[in-house]
Amino acid sequence: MNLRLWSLLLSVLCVTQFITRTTADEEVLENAERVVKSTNSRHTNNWAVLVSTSKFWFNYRHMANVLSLYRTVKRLGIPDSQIILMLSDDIACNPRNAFPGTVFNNMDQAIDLYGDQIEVDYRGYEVTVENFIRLLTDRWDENHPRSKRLLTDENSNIFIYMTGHGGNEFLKFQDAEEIGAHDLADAFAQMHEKKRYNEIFFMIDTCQANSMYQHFYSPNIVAVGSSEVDESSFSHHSDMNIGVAVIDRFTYYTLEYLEKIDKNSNATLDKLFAEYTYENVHSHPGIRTDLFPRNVSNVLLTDFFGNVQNVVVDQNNNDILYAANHEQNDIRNPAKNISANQDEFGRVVAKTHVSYKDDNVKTLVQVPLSRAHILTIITVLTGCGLWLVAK
Amino acid sequence: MALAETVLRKVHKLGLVPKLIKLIPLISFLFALASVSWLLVLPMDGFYRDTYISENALMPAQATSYFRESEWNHVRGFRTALQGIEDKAIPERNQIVEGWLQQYGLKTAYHKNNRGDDTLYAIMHAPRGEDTEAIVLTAPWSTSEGSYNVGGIATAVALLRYFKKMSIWSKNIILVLPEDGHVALRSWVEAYHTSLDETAGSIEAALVIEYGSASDHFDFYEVVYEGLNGQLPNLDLMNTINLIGYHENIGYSIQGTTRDELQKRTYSTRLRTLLKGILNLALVGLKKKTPGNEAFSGWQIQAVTVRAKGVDGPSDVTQFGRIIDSTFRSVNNLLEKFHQSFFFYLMLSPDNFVSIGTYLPAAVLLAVAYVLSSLGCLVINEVQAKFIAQSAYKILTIFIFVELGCLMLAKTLPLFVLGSDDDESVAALILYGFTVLTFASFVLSIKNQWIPKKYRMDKSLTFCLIALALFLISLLLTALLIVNFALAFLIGLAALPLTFIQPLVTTSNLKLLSESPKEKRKDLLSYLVNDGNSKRLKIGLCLLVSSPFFIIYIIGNLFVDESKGALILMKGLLTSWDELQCWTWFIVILGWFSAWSTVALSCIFGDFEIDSVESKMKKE
Amino acid sequence: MKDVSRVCLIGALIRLIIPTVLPDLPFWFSSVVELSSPITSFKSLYEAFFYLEHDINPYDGGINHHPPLLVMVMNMIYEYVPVPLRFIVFNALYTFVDLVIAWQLVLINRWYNEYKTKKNGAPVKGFDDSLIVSFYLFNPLIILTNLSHSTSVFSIFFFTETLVQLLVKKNLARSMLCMGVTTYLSVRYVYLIIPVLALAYSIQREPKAVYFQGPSLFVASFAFLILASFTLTASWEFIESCYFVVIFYKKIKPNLGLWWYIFTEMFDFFTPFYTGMFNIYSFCFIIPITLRLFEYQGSGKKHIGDCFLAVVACALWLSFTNPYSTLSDLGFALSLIPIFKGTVLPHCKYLLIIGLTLLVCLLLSPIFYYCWIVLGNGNSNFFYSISLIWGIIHGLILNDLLWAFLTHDYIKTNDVKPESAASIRLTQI
Repeated sequence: MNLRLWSLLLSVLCVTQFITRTTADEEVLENAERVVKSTNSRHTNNWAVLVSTSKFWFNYRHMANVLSLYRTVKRLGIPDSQIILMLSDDIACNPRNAFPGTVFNNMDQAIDLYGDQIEVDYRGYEVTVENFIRLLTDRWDENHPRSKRLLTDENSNIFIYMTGHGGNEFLKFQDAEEIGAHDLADAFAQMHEKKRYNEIFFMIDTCQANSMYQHFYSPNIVAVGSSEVDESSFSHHSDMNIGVAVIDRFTYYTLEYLEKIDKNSNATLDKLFAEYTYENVHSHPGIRTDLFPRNVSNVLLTDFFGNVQNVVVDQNNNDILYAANHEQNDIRNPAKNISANQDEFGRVVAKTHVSYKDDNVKTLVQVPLSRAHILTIITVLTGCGLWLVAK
Repeated sequence: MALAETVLRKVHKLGLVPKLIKLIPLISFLFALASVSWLLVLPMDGFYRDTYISENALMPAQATSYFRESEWNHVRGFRTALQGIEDKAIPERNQIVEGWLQQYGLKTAYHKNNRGDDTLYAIMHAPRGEDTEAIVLTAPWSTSEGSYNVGGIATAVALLRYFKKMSIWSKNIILVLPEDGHVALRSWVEAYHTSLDETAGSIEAALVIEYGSASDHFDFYEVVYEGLNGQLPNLDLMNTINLIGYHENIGYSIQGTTRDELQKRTYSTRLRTLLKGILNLALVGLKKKTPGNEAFSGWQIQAVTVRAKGVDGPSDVTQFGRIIDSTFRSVNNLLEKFHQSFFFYLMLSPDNFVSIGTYLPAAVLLAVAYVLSSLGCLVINEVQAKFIAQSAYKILTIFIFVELGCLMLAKTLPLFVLGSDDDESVAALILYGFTVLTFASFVLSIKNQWIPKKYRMDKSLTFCLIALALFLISLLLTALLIVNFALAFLIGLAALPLTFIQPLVTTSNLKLLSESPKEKRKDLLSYLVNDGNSKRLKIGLCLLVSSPFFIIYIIGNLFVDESKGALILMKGLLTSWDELQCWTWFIVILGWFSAWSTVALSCIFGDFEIDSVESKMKKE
Repeated sequence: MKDVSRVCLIGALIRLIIPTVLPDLPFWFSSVVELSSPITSFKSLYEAFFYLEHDINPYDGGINHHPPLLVMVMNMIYEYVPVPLRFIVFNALYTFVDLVIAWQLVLINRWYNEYKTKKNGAPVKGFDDSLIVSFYLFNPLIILTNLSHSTSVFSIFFFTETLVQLLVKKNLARSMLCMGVTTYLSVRYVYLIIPVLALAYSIQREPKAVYFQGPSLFVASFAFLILASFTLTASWEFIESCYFVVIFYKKIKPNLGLWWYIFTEMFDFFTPFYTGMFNIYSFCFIIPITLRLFEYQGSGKKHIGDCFLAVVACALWLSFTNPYSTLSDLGFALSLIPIFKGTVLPHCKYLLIIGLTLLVCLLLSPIFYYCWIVLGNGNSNFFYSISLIWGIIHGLILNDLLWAFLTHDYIKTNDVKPESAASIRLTQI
């Protein structure tokens, strides 16, 4: 009896221990799996759209902001071909710049952001609301160069960074026009419909920035802004030699954190968000995650800032060989191309010819002055005649 | 509409119109009073605003200025050299300075005006700039106080040398060294925009610097900002200089605030700054010793004079240079012309101002006071519209005659002064002439029984003329109240006694009516007090006090110079159009003086009491 | 008669001597915004001459907006008169036109008083001829317009001729011919055809002649001129320059009118909306005004209405809504108003206020323009505030005239005694 009792007790203990042990193991495993699964984002490529919407010398800091982010995403592995950089680009070579050809984001002037390798995709007057929306939705005419397009697909993670002067639900583009919060939200919706992204990380540093993302309604977007409605975003510090503020606070602390990570970092988004305190930024940064299914504490920063390491086999049903042959056929048949070209040329000539003819009519008075005078006299006389008749 | 109609009906029912008509002189006076009190209210807390930088691009005091110790040596060097050539003639001095400037790689050129003044100027083309805009630094050889501007020129040359080393300029820099801040500078500015060969684009801003001592130290600095014809530099420029001075920790003074009161911000200091500002703005260009910034007026150039005050104090000469340097960097940052901030304002202290919308009602109230009293002249004395229509020809003839006379005076008198060698005494002669004229009208308007009866005008005509004159002043005020508020307000205030003449006449007429004629002239006292003579005296006094030349004496002797103030002002009035294109003379003579003469004529030849009193008596 | 000739002489001398002594004056005045618009500027007419001299299409470059026939007629003076005389001939032409207009106004005034006397059954006494002439010839707005050699003088001339032919000569055909010329010269006068036809009907009472022949003659004459212009220039380009510029508000140059500011300060994509809106606005009050003032036999055989007032009110309205407003439009309307001395004018109450406002407006307008353009210390808002006052003046005059007309009609229909007529006060409920 005693023995049996003990053996029973022992076995129960063993079982419970085994059970508890397995559950603990399972928990660890599950947890690990979840992290791996969740961090293992579905995306296969990374893109970055970096926009500074202001121009002029006194907006030096916006250029510095965007160039700093440019430097960071490049450092973390996104190639230049997958970065779209939009900026007015009137700072580095501005006559007011005491250090020609440079842009710094810190008064220690340690890093020249303008450096050697800057590929600006849209500069000066090309930075417009229209171009920005077209870029996002990829609605261009057929001649638009590929290097200036956002060639994303449903497996792309996009980091979008905007900076400039804004207000409640708008962001000014170069003092000439503005983009509204609804425009932005609709553009993202179109991108979603056209399967142009997997996930978007939207970051905006401007006054009343949080108003810009509040109308988003498409899934898989995480958004951060630098300040609440009715709040200004502040600059971090001025360089007394350059004579302007060189970086904004929000971007400064973003960069300060991003500088610490590298390509293989396991840092997650929430760690970055933890930097956004009122003490740092001097305004109330906003974070919007309700459209984002994953938990930000599980999202790696490198999902957006670094280049993708994963490979997914494409399920392509098209016969690549056939396609190649087909293309070759075209190449082998130059006559067709030439004739097509000639058609085009003919059309152009026809057009110019028509306009030329038009010009001909426009530029010359067909009637010489003396004859015009005679005609005038005749007209006046006819008028007088009518006058006499009209009794 | 219906409400207005109801109100109108009510007004008619209560018989308010006749009552109001009787009260017009009082209402008019109340308007004038309100106008003055409006200005007095402005310096009270809550009515003025604090200054702020409106243009983002300026970014004042954000860059470190390196005009420091090493540059101090250069300033000292230039100063010593300049002290050595103080006795030389200006062309010789110019040659020496030109040598220095050329040594630093600046392009130099001369402007000779028709008086033979040589003005040396040097252009520093911004190597990376667009070469279309310029900032001007001016250091006249003599300051407005008449001293040798040795510190100013030394600093200016050292600054140019320092500017040349920097690679931050988007605008060209021009250094101008005129003989003084008066005609020499003005003619250079005009030539720059019309005839000079060596130019450097449109001038955005100009700084005139005065540092009239050879001392290394100064106490605080003063900014003079009034331009010609009521123009002011954009408030942003003023604020920029103020802010830079604040960062350099130097005292900043406007409108002659003294050392002890620089930091004081009380009602009385604000009021004093305000009133001085109005007076100085009205008198710009009339004094011979002009600070120089007004020479840039009229060409869309924002210009101020920065003047170092005191020979020893906490600040040193490089700080003075740093103010200029930082201001230049701020202006250099500009992308457009100054346009963000106010062009019409009154300063209450370096940090407080009122803008046009706030102070304008003062002038509008004054103009309304004149219109009312002009209407009162016609309505109270029951001048019929028919009469006006009939005698319009006569009224206009008299008026055009007066205007033409004034026009002739306005054109010819300056010629006498400019054409003579001893312009001072010619100006004095003209001033005395006008003084005699003023007193003659004073005496004649008291003793107008001396005028033969056949030259007299009848009552209606007299009042029509007075009404026209008052209306003319109100039009003058209306025209000026935006462009030159200070002058409008000053003239409006000074000519105010003219509006008292009509009520004086009417009330004493009523008094005369209430007395029986026999009781009059009992004794001398009542003769003076009750009779028309006392009224006549009052009218005469009104006329005297509101005469432009009486005011010239008052302002000149009180505010300009104790002994020769009136003469200085008179000469300034006569010459300022030709020398500086300042139109104050024309406004005074064609607007104010012509209206005054019309009133004076009607006081002398008008017979406003006799016919009315007699006719009323006849009726009785 | 002696008075009239004296007034005419002085008026003519002013117009003849001043520009002869100062030949640059018309050109200088041509660039004063208050005096001439791009549509009426003498300077641009001269530019057209220059173009013609160099065999360039005068409508190239978008400077000339004068109709071809006017350009050609003026060009003949320019071409065939030697230089020293040329300016004097121009001055004489402008002087002559103004004198004729003044005389036409006299004729209209006489007709109006006669007509009203007949219709009212009681004598209506207006101003003397000399006063009517003075009101036109000494009207400072008209003098300035004439000295600036604005081509609007010719439009005014043909319009008054329209009225004279219609009212005095009772010749509808000639009148419509003139109306066609007026419209050809200045397209906005086309709106006035409506009150003019109403006026024609009220004096002729022949619906067929007035409502069928009138408009068709008008259209025919206008079309004839347009076709003649086409043969002159061998292109339709003048339509664009002369008429579309007016209809589509193409020249955005500051002027006294109400609209330029809206086109400069608003976003471009609003422009079509405003263009449509303002054109409707120009037109939509013409018919109501005409209908309200239409003449008919009221109760008790009382003659009600005043079609001539409708013409004047519509002219005022057109001045108010003119895209290129100048002093001449208001000046002309103001010169017509004294004609109502016997009827409507005595009931006007705001004359003093209107006069003072107009004076202040004329005084401040150049000053604010100077502050904005030359000194740079004012801005467009300064000048536009004057444009607004200019609009308010029009509103006041129209309001005052219409109210006075209602009062006048009330007095007539209710047989109010002349003694109490002065003290009567009417209220709108």
